[in-house]
Amino acid sequence: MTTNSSKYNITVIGAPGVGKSAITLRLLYQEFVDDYEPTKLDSYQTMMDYQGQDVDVQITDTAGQEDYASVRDTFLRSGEGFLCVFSLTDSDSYSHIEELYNQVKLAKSMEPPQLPFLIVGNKSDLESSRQTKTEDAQRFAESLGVKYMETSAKNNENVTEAFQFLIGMLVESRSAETAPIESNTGKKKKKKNGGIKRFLCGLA
Amino acid sequence: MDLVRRVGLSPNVRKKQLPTKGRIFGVPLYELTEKCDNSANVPNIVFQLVAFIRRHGFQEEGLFRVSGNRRVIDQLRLEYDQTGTANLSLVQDVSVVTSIFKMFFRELPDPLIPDQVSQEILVAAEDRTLTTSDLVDKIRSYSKTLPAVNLNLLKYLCSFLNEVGQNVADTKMTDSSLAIVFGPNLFRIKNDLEALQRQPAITKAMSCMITHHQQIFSESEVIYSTVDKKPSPPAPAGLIQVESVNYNNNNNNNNNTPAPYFILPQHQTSNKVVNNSNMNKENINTVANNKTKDWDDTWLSGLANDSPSPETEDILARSHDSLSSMSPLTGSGNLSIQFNLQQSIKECIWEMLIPAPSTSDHSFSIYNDKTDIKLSNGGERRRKGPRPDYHANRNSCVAVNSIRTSAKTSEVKEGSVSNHHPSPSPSPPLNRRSSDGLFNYNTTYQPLTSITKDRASPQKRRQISKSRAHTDPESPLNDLVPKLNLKRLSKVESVTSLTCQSEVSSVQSANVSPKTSPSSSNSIASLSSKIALLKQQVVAFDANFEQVHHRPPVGNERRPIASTIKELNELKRLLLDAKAVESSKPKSSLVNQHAMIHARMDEKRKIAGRPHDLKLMTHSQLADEKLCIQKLLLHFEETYGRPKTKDQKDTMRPIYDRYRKVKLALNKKSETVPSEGEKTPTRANLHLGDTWNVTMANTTSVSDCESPTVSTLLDSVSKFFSGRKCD
Repeated sequence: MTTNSSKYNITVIGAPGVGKSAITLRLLYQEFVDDYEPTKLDSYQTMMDYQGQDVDVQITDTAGQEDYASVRDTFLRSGEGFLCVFSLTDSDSYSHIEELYNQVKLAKSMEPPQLPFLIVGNKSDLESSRQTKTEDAQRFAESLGVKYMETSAKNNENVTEAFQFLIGMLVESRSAETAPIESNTGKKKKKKNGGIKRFLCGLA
Repeated sequence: MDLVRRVGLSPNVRKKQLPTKGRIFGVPLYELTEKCDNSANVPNIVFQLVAFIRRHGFQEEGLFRVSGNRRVIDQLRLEYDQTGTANLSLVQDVSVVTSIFKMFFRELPDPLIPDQVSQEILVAAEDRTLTTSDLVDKIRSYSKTLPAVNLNLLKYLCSFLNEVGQNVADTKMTDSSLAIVFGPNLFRIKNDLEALQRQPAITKAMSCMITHHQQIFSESEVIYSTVDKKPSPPAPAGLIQVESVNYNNNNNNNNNTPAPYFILPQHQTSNKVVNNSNMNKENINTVANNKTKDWDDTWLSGLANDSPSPETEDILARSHDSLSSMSPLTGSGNLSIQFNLQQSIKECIWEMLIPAPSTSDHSFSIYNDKTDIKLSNGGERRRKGPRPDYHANRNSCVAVNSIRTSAKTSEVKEGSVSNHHPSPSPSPPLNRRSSDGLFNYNTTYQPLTSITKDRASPQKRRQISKSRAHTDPESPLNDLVPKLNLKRLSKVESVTSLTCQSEVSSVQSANVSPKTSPSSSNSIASLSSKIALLKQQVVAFDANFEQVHHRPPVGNERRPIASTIKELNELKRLLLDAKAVESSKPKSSLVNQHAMIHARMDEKRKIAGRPHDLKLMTHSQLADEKLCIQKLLLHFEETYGRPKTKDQKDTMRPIYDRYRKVKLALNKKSETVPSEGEKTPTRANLHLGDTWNVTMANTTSVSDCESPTVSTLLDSVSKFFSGRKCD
């Protein structure tokens, strides 16, 4: 079992009160935290398993309030994967997704196939007060070119899966990135060596 | 950041925002205040929104936290900017109004608390040596330097938020939650990173201003009232009556000044207040009348003394008490009346709180002969008669404030403010993540940070804070985290839903009498092979599903193999049980040791006369206690070695836990000597990585790792999760 030392950053975003912290804490502690304090910004570090590989994951739990928009924006830039949460029982929070999505796109200057972005409809346990249909959300996500999942932090449904999915995207995108870079450095080395050799030859 | 924010607005808003002249948002506060025509002397939009929120929002969960529909917000904002007002009656959703309300403060070109003052306040809030009352004093003195317009609005806002905070049962918004939400709008810090760093202080200061708004802002009015030293006016019962009674200017007043607004009417007329077919109401009025009499007397004597007598205060408090005790609050069915009553009182108070004018001449101008008083039911009543003198008003206001204080002292919540008290707080000892400036932001990559108050259980918190302390040696946490790391001794309860079923009983009992689960007959190996088989099935199903649907199965889509999963979980549980039984064999002597150490601890405590509760201990007692446990533990470790297996650790954990708690309490008490913790030897090879290990059926290596580094810690975390997820 090899350990990958590099760290992946997942930033959890979404409208206020949709359960960003609940999802995060559920993942970290396997516990539903029924607390009602707004988040300012929390950051956690954990190890997750991706296809037998340990990956170091930093999870940034952001504030949903517009009041913290400036702080959150800073972290959008440092984030790599984005878990965009809305509440299935609050259509207003659903209406915030597109805006958040645009902000992330702008901050990262990336588009979905490359941009690890996952839309998550939380509170799937409250089926009776659901305001957003699965199909609608699914369609909307597809129109943005991203994946959609429904979770329940309370019943621990799909929470780890959601994070796993993002990790998967991150790991793959990073391995795709590092490959060309490695080859580049290799070339440079070769060139350098060649240069030195040539220089030595000149001396001789 | 500005770019992002601008993008956030809908294009309509952006276009029309720039040219319009009569804008509301983004306009300097003094301009808006000049145009205002409400009794509070605050911008009309604020007054209107507050009235709306008060009428519709106090039952709303997450008031001010939840944000409304973006489009509706933008529309409303546009309406305000174009017409100067908006028709809120069409608004269905309070969260839209609260969002607009916050937006107003956010968009003020200069923050409500200007940079210089906010710096001063934040420095005070970051000073952890200050007690709450010190902080209140400081904020009060700093707030005096605010421009009058700002001060007035700040005062209005804080007392309104305090009012919101009273409805915490419905809104779930405590003062500190409100502070979290409002803080960044009032205390604006341009640098994002600094802003983040100072959030705890901002929240602390803001929550202090909300909770203690009377103390902080009442004095600012005294400037205007040095001439007038009338005693405080009457009890809230009187307030209700004022609502409907035609007020006679010369009534009951032998002073030169016009009668105070809140002066009680003659007793005969008092029953006009509420159409009282209701017994409770009559009771209230009776009480009120009695008190009125008292008060009249006191007041007269007070006039003679030229200073408010302490009795006045007492009477005020008492009359308030009796009002509340008589009120239907205590009864069962009359909540609505009580609500109305409270509302009326609040409304009156609000009317009274308003008048802190920036300049006295301006203040007089705002009073018209007729003023609308909004009642709780949303109707409006007119109050005839001239507006009272400002000073009289001021006094009433003070009185009302004192009443509110007396009524509220019992309700003062354990907000973040009190948590920051240097003395040991009742919060769990390892409450590292509480927002008291522990957040240390260096670069974009700070491994584990949190500026939100803790929401995980204390034990979990401990884990987090531990790992944080280790990953970030630079952080100020090091002053607080003891160097002797009896790491991870906290019991990791309910490791997973699987294990918690099998480990229902407490640690000790589990250790003393390890359960003989039905699986004990099954060998671990056979269980493992069965699990592997079932896992293969699940994986195969997932793969099939993914082939068909091009995505992993979600939620109920796994239903076809639900029984397999269930069986798998069951088997895992059995395996855990079996392992637990296996490892619990060499334990009995340890249990004895544990009991012995406990007995010794109790004995020593008794001899030294130390209380068991750490909070009751003095500093030296804590030091003694620590030494005592340390000795016992060292002795134990010499003879038995450190606990290695999960069960051994579980057995010994209470003692290590206690040791750590003592250390923490000690450190807390001697924060001035942060090096204290470093004196103790570091022995950190106790860790609970293997506690998690039990959850994995397929990996084995973690339990043996002895190194105390973070990586092992995180390893175990990941193993823990991998056990849950990736099988």
